[in-house]
Amino acid sequence: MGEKGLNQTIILKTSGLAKHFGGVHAVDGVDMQIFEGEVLSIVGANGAGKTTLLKLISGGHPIDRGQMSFEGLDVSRLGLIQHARMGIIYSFQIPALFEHLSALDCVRIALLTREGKTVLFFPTIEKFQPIRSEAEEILEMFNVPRSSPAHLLPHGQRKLLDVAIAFALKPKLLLLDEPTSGVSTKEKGQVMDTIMPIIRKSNTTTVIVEHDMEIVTRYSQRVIVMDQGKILAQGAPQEILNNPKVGEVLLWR
Amino acid sequence: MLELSINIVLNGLFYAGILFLMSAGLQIIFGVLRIVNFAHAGFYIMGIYFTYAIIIALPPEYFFLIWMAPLISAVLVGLLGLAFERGLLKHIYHRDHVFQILVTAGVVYIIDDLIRFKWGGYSIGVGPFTSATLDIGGVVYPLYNLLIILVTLAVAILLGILFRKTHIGRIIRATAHDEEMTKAMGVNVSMVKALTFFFGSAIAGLAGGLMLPVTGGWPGVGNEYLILSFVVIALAGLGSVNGALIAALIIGMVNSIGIQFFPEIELAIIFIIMVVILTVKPSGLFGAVPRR
Amino acid sequence: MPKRINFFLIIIGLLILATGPAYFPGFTIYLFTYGMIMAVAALALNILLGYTGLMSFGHGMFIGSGGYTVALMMKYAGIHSFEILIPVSILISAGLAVLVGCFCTRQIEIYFSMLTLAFGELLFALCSKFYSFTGGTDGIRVKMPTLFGYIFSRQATDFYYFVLALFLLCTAAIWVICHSPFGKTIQAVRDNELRVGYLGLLVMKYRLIAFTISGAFTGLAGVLAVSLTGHAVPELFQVFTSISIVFMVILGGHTSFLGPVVGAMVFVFLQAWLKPLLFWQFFFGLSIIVLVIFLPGGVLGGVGIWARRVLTRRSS
Repeated sequence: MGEKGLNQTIILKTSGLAKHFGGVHAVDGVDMQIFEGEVLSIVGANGAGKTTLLKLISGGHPIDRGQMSFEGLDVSRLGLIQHARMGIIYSFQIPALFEHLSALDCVRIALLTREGKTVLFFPTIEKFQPIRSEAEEILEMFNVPRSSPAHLLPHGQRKLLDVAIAFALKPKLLLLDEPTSGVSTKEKGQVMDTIMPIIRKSNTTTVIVEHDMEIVTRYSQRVIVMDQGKILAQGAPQEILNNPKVGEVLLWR
Repeated sequence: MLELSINIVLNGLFYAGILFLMSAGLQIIFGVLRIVNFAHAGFYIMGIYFTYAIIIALPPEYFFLIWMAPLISAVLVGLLGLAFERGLLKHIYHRDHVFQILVTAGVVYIIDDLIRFKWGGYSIGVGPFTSATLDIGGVVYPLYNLLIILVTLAVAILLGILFRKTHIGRIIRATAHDEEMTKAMGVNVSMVKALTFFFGSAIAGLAGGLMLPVTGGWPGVGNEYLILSFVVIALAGLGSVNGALIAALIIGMVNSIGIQFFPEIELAIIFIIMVVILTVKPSGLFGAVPRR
Repeated sequence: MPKRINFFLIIIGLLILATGPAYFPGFTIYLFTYGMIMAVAALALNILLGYTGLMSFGHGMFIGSGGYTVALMMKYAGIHSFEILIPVSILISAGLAVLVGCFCTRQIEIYFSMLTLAFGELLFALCSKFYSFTGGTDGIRVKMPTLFGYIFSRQATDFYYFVLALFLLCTAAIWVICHSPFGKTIQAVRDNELRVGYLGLLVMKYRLIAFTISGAFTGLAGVLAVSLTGHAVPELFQVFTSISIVFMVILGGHTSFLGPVVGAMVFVFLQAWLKPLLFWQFFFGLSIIVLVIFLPGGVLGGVGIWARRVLTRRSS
């Protein structure tokens, strides 16, 4: 875990956040803050509400109750597209790629979006600099081959590409939904070792939803534990590991 | 004035009835198979022609059986639909939905030429099953048309009972709602799809059979009704049979009023209404089909 | 499709088109002309189908809008020159596309196909009913417009070369559009509209722009088609016209840029050959089904696979 001066600026804050599906309270009154520049993990058993919380932050699900503010602005009523435009970028658990396009194209699309150049008819995309070189750089950082069509990539690289697309947008808040899910235990380390240095170097505020406590301990500075839609505990990874209540819920004890 | 209103209302109910019969089949098929069955047009036309064939084949002593003709024709059309689904459609379920739609569109052209082949390109017709009329509030209205209204009402009620109270109906609804889950519960989803297509096509065939005495038949008959049935299901929300009933009523009434007062642009009026409603509620009045 | 073969075939195609009038009979030249016009319409449709992932069953409405703009302007405004008719028709077709598109592109894809068909039929009905204005089902006769004063003779090949020039221009323009940043963005919309939303882009905006561009080019095709045939009829708006264009695209291959061109040419010639046959609709419907099931990549898709197989066999 790298040393990074924790900026005490709060970039995102929620109070009383709630979301229910039918009778199920997926998120049931969550008060939390995210500090600028930190790497925060959210853990919990399946169904505890981690992904729902992440989706609420991304704007992918509308909020039922409570408030959320981002960089001081109230975003409780704003939708997915506005959240994304404000810099809250979500990366998918099951990679959402542009299947018939090459990896290079996938990143290029993100860059075009960032630069506001999506409704541009010249020049030809292949010759369009600096978009092309930046896309190539990003793919190199993430170790993803550039010309393969997305649907032909092996799972590990699909996961990396998904993060690369999100990262290319230079997000103010990057949300990673189980970046190592579906990846073999051996590869998990590789994936995180690829992603995390990039994130640290760019000082990107990141929230990771994870199951694997080892990864959480190694890569994040702060952990939030969720249980049945509520926050059970939060703190530095070591505190959480030593917390008996958490152990029961996450079935260590 | 009263006579005019009664006429408009009755005609409206009549249009609504036929529109509902056409749309219900489309909705049921969409609900389970998730495709907009462009071939429905063909099944409607086959309903007309099968009924015609049955009627002219009836020996005079059995003429009272004429009332059965649309029903028999409906079953035959259902079987045709079943053959289409099993023989063709089943093999392309994994393809993009728009290609499935394209295939159903292709079927219409095949059916059209098959009809031309068997019955020629001229129009065919039979007289109404009964020329009796009923006097309603001073308006002399054909009994046959009233019977059509009653039949569609009966079909609507029967469909309601089918889907709500019967076991098979619940299975169909479950499959429409979540195919994967239903399959996981051990239901033979493939059979459900086949059955659904049979039902949907049969209803279209019935509509055709009932309309034979009213419009006659020729290749391409009923085109305007078919376009309107698309409007109905868009308005209702894809997959909703209840919605189709309401939407059919709305469109039927507007159509009736429009034809009376603004004949040239009544179709445009219907479209404008559809645009307005769908702009406010894009998934239709009763829409919100769970996405696959 | 391997690049060298692609290039080679294009050169051959261009040569044939450029020198055709020298050795092909008049009717063949007519078919080539019509084929190029439909190729423009097919390329335009493929912007929507192959690149944006939307299947429009109503593109006939733009052929109709282009054609009837010409017919009506000739009849009521006395305008006979291409240099005015073409820009105005393109504008009107684009306007129609925006109007219809605003509504249709909001909906999910399945609705889109259905609604474009419905709108096409609506325009067909309106066109047929307003007899006094549009000539109803008889349509309107159209004389060949002039180009900057130059009078075309339909018999000779000058109109052929005019169409050839426009065809090449349109193909180049559509190529630029499809290979531009916008072209990549609409492909992203096609491949994963969910992700596009999560990037912060409004999916409908891109669909609408694609639809408008597509409609505008199709309108141009309509202008040329009506000038060639000399007759603007309501059937242009109808679903059969629309499905024919879709068929051309699928036939030639919607996954390659030039597929639609091949499909249009093949279709026009096939249609001329089969139309006199009594039950050509049967074959039309059958070909659609066979094509979708067995040859999803169309002619160019199939040829591409074959070519790749032949080449790799040779190198190993």
